[in-house]
Formats: sequence, C-alpha cells, structure tokens
Amino acid sequence: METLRFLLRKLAADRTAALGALLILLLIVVAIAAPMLSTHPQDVTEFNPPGRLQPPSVEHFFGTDRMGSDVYSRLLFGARITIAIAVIAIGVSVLIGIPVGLVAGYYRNWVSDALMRISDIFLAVPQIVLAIAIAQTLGPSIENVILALSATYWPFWARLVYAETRSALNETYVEASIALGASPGRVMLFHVLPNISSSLIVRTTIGMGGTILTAATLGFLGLGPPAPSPEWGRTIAESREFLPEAWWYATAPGLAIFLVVMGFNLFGDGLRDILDPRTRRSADG
Amino acid sequence: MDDLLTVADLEVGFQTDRGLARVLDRVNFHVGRGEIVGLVGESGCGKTTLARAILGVLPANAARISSGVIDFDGRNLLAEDPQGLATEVRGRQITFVPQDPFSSFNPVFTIGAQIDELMKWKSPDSEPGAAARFYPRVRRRADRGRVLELLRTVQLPDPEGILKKYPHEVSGGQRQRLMIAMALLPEPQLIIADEPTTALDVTIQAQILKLLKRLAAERGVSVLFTTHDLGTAYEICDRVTVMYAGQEVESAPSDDFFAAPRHPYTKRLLESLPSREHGISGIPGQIPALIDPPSGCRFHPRCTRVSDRCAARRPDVTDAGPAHRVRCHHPVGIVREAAS
Repeated sequence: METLRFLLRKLAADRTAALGALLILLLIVVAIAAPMLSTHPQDVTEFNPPGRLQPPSVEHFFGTDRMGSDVYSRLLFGARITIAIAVIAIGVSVLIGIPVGLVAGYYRNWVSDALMRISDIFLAVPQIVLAIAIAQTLGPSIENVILALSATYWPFWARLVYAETRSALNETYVEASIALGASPGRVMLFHVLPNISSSLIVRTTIGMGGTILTAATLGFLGLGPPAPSPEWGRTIAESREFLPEAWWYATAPGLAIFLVVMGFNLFGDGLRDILDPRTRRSADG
Repeated sequence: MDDLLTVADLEVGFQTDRGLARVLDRVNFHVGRGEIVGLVGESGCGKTTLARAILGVLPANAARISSGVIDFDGRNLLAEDPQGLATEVRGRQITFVPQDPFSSFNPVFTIGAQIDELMKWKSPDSEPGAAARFYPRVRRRADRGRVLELLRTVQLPDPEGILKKYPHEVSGGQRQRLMIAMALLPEPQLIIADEPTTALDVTIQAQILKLLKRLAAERGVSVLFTTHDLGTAYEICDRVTVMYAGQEVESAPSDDFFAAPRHPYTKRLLESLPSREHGISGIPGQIPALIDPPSGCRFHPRCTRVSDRCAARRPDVTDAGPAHRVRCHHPVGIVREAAS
C-alpha cells in the first residue's frame, strides 16, 4: 500500500510517465466501456451502405467507413481486441520466458545451453518476419495472432531473465544462501526474481507497446481477425483505397495505435527511473 | 591444544583453458579454540580460496580438490554430505563475514526481513535440519530480542529503526557491523572473516576490527581472518599464518611473528611496509603463474637465500620457537647445528 502510494507520487512528478499512464488508462476505460461510450454500437456487425464515407460530424465523430459504419464506434470496440491480444500474448511470453530464463541462468549444464540455443534460434529471425510466417501458416484469426506473437516474444524475456540471473548469482547474498542450503527454487523465487522484477516490469510495459504495433501490422497485412472485425490494423488496410479523400477513415485508427504505443513506451521509460532501487526509499523514509 | 579447525595437505586447483591452476599446494593450517588467526598474503596467494574451501563454496564446475583433509571439530568437511553440512555446520557453527558489505545484502528486502530469514533457519534455538517452513511465534519473539540486543552490542544506533531500513540506506561501516552481528547471531564456533575491512575507510576499519576482536574474545569464538594488511593482522590476531603463491610458509604467534620472522618471504614482506627509515621498498620479481608454478618452495626464484635444495623439494614444517612453524630450508636467524 505504501509502495503503491509512493509509486503514484513519483508518477505524478514525472510528467511524461504520467501522460503515458493516462493514455494506457484511457485505453483500458475505452475498452471496458465501449458499449456505453460508442454512439452506434450495432455498427460493429451491421452495415449501412447508403451512408458510406461521410466526413466527421456530430452524428459520426470520426465519419463513416466504406460500409457506412461509424468509425468512432468501431474504434472503441477495436480497443478491446488490441488489449486482449497484447495482454494474452505478453502474458504467455512472460510465463514461458521467465521460467526458461531462470532455469537456464541458474544451472550451468546442457539443459541451460539447450534452452538458450532454442531461444537464440527464435531471436535469429526478425520477430515481425517470424510472426508473419506463423500467422500466415495458421490462417487469420485472433487466436493465431496471439499464438504468433507469444511464440516470437518469449525469447526476449528468457534472454533478459537469463542474463540477470547469471549476474545475480554472483552476488554474495545469493552465494551465501546457496552455501547455507537454500534450494534452487528458493534462490530463484526469493533472491533472483525480486531483484530482477523492476527490469522485468519495464521490459513488459515497453513490450506491450511493441506487441500492439506488431498485432496491428499483422492485422494490416490481413493476417489478423477477419472482416468485419474492427481491429485497428485491418481498418487502416481497408481505408487505403479511399485516401486521401476519406482521410478520417485511416487517421482515427492510426492515431489510436500511435497514442497507445507511445503511452506504453513513455510509461515504461518512467517506470525504469522510478523502479531503480537506488532511487527507492523505504516506507517510512 | 585441541584445535577447532585443522587443514592438512589441502590441494585445490582450478581448471582453466590453459590447464590446471594449482592454487593451493599441500596447505597445512589450523585454528585453535577461541583463537584469532590471521591469514596473510598478497592478492592471489590463495587466502580467499582457502577460506572458501573451508566454507565449502568453491565454484563446483571449476575447482578440483585433489587431496587433503579439512577437519572441523572432528568432522571432515570434504568427505561429508554437502546438504547435511549446509544445515548443520554452515551458518550455524561456521559463519562468514564477507569482504564487500555492498553486495552482501539483498537490495530489495529490508535488513530486518533478511535477519529474520537468517534466524528462521539458523537461530541457536532452532533444530538443525528441522523443516523451518513456519516460524513459531514464541521463537520469533525470542529471536527478535536476541537480534536487538546484538545490534546494540555492535554499537549500531537505533536498532529497531535499522531493521526497517533497506540495505542502501545504511553506511558501509554499519553494514559491516550488521554483517558481524549476523555472523554472531547463530552462536558459531568459528567466524571466517574474508578481508572484512578492505572496503571501509581507515577510521572505520579500526573500530570494526576492535569490535570483532572484543566480541570474539567475550564469546570464545574462533576467528579466521584473511587480510593483506599486516597492520590489521597485528592489531587483532593471536597468531599469523603467511601464505605465498598457494603455499603456507610460516605461522607464528603475533608478537614472535613481527619481532622475529623466520621465513625470507615474511621478512621481506615486513620490510616492504612503508616506514620513515626505509621508505617504500618492494620484493623484486613477480608472483609466479599458478598454471606452471616453480617447483619446491614457490618463493625460491625471488629468494635471496636460495640454494639447489629449494627448487628440488618443498621444505618440511620446522619448529622455530614456541608455536612458531616455518617451511624453509634456510630460515632467517637460526643457526643450524646440522648445517656443515
């Protein structure tokens, strides 16, 4: 509780991080409250061809798209897809990457080598290319996008945890607890993990931004959820043929992606400064 | 005297890319009950390796212990099951004060939490080896009282406050006091202090050393104290053992050691202390590479009293006075009757 209050105070002092947090908060609120905030919730599935490609107005904040649906409403529902993809993909990556990194970092035998070589293989191919290949092979759907992103993102966490574990094992206090009979699991969970949690949190936050961008790229290439899904990347792809006349059609989802990714990056950078243990002070300090 | 710790013919090597580095060469060494022994030598002479061998924390993948016995209170630490030693001996009967007080605490937990963790497993009230999954409240309270008392004994201001702090919030000297307190808390028989004051200011060093000496004397705890600083060794040690390039060369009670060194290396070492009369002087030559060390006495290439015998075989342990042992074919200041 004290830590949380401390975090909030620090966040308030750091303007860019606060802006990032605000953007992330906005994304979450929008995703949850999409049915209430949207002006034409039925437009996600229903079309109104006569009213297609209308410019922004009081009736349609961001105009209408090629099917006559309200761009603003579809944008709000698209936020749900974005959050679902990013959270699940990152969650899976973290759940695979952390144990792999811990085990590979703690032991110094063939298991460790094997795990790191496997993650090297994944890292050798550019992440976006591998994700496209996987998504292309499996076919367009939300599940496959999540699968493609998880499969290509976990090695980043494995690498990070591996390196941090290796350096943590050289600390006197870790050596001491091993000498006193602490089990490998205990050392990993009580000594290594708490010490690397701040870099993990920062990496995860910034990784969210990257994941959202990659997910949008997959959507743009038609590898994401199929039409009529309001996924942002797909919406931008659809809008291309109507540029530059129907500028609002592409601008709305583009701006949304930009703001969300920037939000995660700013917040991640801010967290990096805040979570640095050297600048942290005890609860009563 | 019945010795608490006896190291006999200990040989330790490290596997490197260029071959086996023979870091300890048949080292003999002992610590009596309640005795403060200084282990002195230059950097890289094997002091820390010896200390780590006793603690059982040599890196398992590189270190090779090829022969020798480490006998602690009747138990051979090299032969016994490591897990049993970890629960019964390490952290209970043998404790450790590290060199660097800055990496000795986990930075993300409060000092109090870390001392509690130690006491949960290693409190003198707890059964060795008993699963300390939970920490009975009665014992926790008793331990807390013991901790506060000891923190006062090591002259830390506001013990209750310090327990709530994070390690980076206290000074290096305070951390080292905490380390000494933590080493004493399990009521051990032997404390191994590996250059405990090297990282500290000179003014703090003296305080810490005196504290360590006083507490060890009061509680009858033996201390093995490694240092490269002869001055600090003189300050607190009952007996000093000198190592050179992985061999112990001389061991003597402190007064005798500084007044009448027998081994040429010890003599040169003492002379190399900066002084007003002699200025600054060193020992010509370099520490030998441990991959392919000199044969016999490893000091012979730099020694002024060298003879053919020195390279041929390592000198045996010779008595050179009460409790004074030296390993040299041509010791300083002894007229050999047998010498022709």
